[in-house]
Amino acid sequence: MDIVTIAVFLALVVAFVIRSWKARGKLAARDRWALITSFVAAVTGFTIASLLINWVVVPPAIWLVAVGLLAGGVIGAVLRWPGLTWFAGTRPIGRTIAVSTSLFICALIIGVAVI
Amino acid sequence: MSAHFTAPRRRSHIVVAVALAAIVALLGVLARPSPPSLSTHVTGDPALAAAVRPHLQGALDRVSVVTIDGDTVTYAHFGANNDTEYEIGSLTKTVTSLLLADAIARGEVTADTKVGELLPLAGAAVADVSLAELASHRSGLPLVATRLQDMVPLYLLAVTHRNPYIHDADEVIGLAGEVSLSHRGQFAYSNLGGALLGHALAAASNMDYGRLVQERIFTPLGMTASSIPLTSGSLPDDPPTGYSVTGKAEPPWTMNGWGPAGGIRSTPADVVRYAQALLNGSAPGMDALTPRWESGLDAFAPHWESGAQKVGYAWFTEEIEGRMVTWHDGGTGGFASIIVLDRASHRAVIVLSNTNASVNDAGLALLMGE
Repeated sequence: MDIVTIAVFLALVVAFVIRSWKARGKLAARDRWALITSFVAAVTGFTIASLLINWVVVPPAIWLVAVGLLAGGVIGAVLRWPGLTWFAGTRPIGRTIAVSTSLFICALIIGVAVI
Repeated sequence: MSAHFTAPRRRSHIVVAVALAAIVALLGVLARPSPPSLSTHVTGDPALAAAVRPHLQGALDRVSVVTIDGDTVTYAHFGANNDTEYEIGSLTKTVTSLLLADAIARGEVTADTKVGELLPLAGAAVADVSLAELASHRSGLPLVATRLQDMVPLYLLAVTHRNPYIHDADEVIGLAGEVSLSHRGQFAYSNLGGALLGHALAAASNMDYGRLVQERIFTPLGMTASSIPLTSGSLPDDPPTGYSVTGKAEPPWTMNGWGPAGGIRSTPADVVRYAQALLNGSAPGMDALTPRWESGLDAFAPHWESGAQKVGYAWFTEEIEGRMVTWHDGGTGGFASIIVLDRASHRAVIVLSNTNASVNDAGLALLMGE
């Protein structure tokens, strides 16, 4: 269980880092909402990790590594921000629905955990 | 011209990026997991502390260990003392079971009294269940609930490290009235059954459960530091708290209407008084300890092989290496506990911890002389 949760946690954080720093290619964030969504997903990963991982047996250093990655991703996201539009592509309605759904799910998970 | 503006703007972006990254890193570091470790402040008997240490595993912070051998009581504490308060969780069920046997002796109820005769459960399946069935986990009631609308909030509270046992007595009785019974007559551990039993006994005695425990158990046994607070408002300003089995800080669990199943807070000194009264037979309702029905609960496997496994009124009995061991454990979000009795040789072991990591192996190992 811990291994799966750690994998999901790190995957969400690493995905944010890659999407922030890559300017081109399939994995690159195409627009600002992609950056925001990816960042919120990474924060959700931290929430899940905090609740579900057994930190008595899993080294808390993993958390600190993830924090370092997240901070690195933030630098990439801020530097790319001016060069991105809010919405890229030709299907703004589809993008709006996808972004809203992602943010809603993340907000729900964080909300249940925090409130 | 644009090049003159681009460089300063780029620099300002870098400054903003680094500043935001620093804030994120700071928040991340502040929110890092900080699981507890067993206190190095050891008091009491050094030999007992050394003997129990190999058996304490997982998340640990404060632990109290007591052995009783006839009139000899030996304590060892890690970051605690005789008066440290612990949530004893389901050890409370053993108190409720004594109250049942005591109420039978007083003639207030019988073992076969139906819970529907004492509580407003008209038309509910559980109304036909006897007090003995409730006390021995053979009522067919679930652990807490069966309906999805009841289970989801309980699960969400538990997984987010909050106290899920928030219902008052009427709501607990309402929950019991809604469930269907499953495999009645077979052993299936039920917090709902334990809570319902306490409220039924309270109704039979015309008292609330808290007063019943105080008058018939705490006061006669001199357990002056023990209490059963119903809500967080009943707690002192800075109540002792503990950690989950995963090392996450847990709030205090006050169990409100679930109190008879797990709501007592007590101290090593008071639990010793309780265990001594159980060993010398002076506790009210001693008949609760009599093993009566098969439980099939092989609780100490695979470490220990047990023979007959029985349940009385809440109390479990197992034959382990030729000795009849009577025991019950307890757990809340941030605490774990066990009392293990060898009644034939007048010995007992008590282990109380402010983490939810099981202390059962430690308790049994000490009783068996490991």
